[in-house]
Amino acid sequence: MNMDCKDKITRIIAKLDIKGDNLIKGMHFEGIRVIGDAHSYANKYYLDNADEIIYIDSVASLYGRNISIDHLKRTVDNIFIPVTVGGGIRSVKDIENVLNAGGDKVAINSAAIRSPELISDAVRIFGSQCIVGSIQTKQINSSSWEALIDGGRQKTGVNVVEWSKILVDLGVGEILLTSVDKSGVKKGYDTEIVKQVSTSVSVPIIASGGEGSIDDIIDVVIHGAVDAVAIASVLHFDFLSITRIKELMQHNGIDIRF
Amino acid sequence: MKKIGILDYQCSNVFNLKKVINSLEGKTATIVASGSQLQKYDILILPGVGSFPHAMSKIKLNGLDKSILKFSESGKKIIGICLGMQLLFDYSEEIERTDGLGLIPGSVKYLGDLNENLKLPNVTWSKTKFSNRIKSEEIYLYYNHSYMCVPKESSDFIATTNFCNSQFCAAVQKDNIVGFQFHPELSSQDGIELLSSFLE
Repeated sequence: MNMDCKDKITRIIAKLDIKGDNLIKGMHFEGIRVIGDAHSYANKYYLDNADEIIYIDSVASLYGRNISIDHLKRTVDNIFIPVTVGGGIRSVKDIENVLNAGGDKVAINSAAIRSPELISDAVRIFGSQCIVGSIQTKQINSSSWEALIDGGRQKTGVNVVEWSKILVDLGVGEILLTSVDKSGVKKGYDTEIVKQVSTSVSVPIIASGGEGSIDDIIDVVIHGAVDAVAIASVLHFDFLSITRIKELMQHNGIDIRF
Repeated sequence: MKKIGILDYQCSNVFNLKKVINSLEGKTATIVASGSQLQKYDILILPGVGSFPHAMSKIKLNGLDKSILKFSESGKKIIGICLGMQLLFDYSEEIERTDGLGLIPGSVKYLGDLNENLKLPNVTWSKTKFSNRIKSEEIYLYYNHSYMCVPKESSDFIATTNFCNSQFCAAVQKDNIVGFQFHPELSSQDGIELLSSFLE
């Protein structure tokens, strides 16, 4: 939550990890479990007042394949809110394909670390508002986090806070910060690194990975100073609906959109 | 059947806009890239992403600016969305002062001037208040921008919204020229209904 501006809402984003036509859920980015038909879940979250959808093609991300455009198109067909698409995006052509299949923004991680000029090229062509810098974080000691690539499996030696500043200099319009340590564990977001990045850069931050309860969501919004939260497990397993999450957030003094 | 042309000048993401309009009854949207084709349409939509100077240079490259002005003189409606709205104004201060289409008196300024502590781009759903003849209740609409339009005539404002306690222009209309700073096509049912009402 931005303390300087309390009238700005916090965006609630439903995050879908996709394999083919299916919504899946992984733990620590490993051990994948099929949850159900991606299209039905996307529709359910859209109708339940999600502010945005994040769609991650897990197969493309894990195995270095191209994003499956047909699956994307089918999944977001009836969705009329912003859709951010990530997983295996490596070129300007990939971005074009995503935008022509229903995506509004793209999230880029591995390809940005391998060739940062992809970000500046993409920003020049599609605008900052279209390009989300995606960072997968792993804590390496009490005060330092490393950026991982290739679906959270590959180390880079790159410091997360430093990298986030570079991404902003390259022109990204938002940063999606996903904790590999916390993903799927349901014990809370990695609020500390979220806060460090959020207070270091000038663009909006989306926190992702680790929510298990409404308290976790409220904690990262208030203490992590984020602009948006990506929510997966608690929605997919029906612990909470988006409407219920928003009600509880509002009850705790956080501005949301109804 | 209303024929709606969406101008593609290589600075726009037109897929979802087209998808939304084609889902509306009695409306059909076509992507149009050539100025000579514009007159075939009842309504012209000017989308836009990226920077103002880059978009303006693309528009001028093929003489599209002249075709747009000619279309507006015919009295048919033009709707600019996001950067497309900004292009309707006299000039923008983005990167370097650049002339726009000059269809609405006023300029485009940096949103950070309203509040320097706030994060930009302004990516948010923001409660938007329309003049009563358009919509009586406030609705949430999706914004993603770093610059704002400042119309010269207050009578051209048709909607306002807040950016950290400061008000700015959310939508503008001068006769047949309309501009939306938000993205109606990404603003769920409220946005679609609003867009639809302007396509009558």
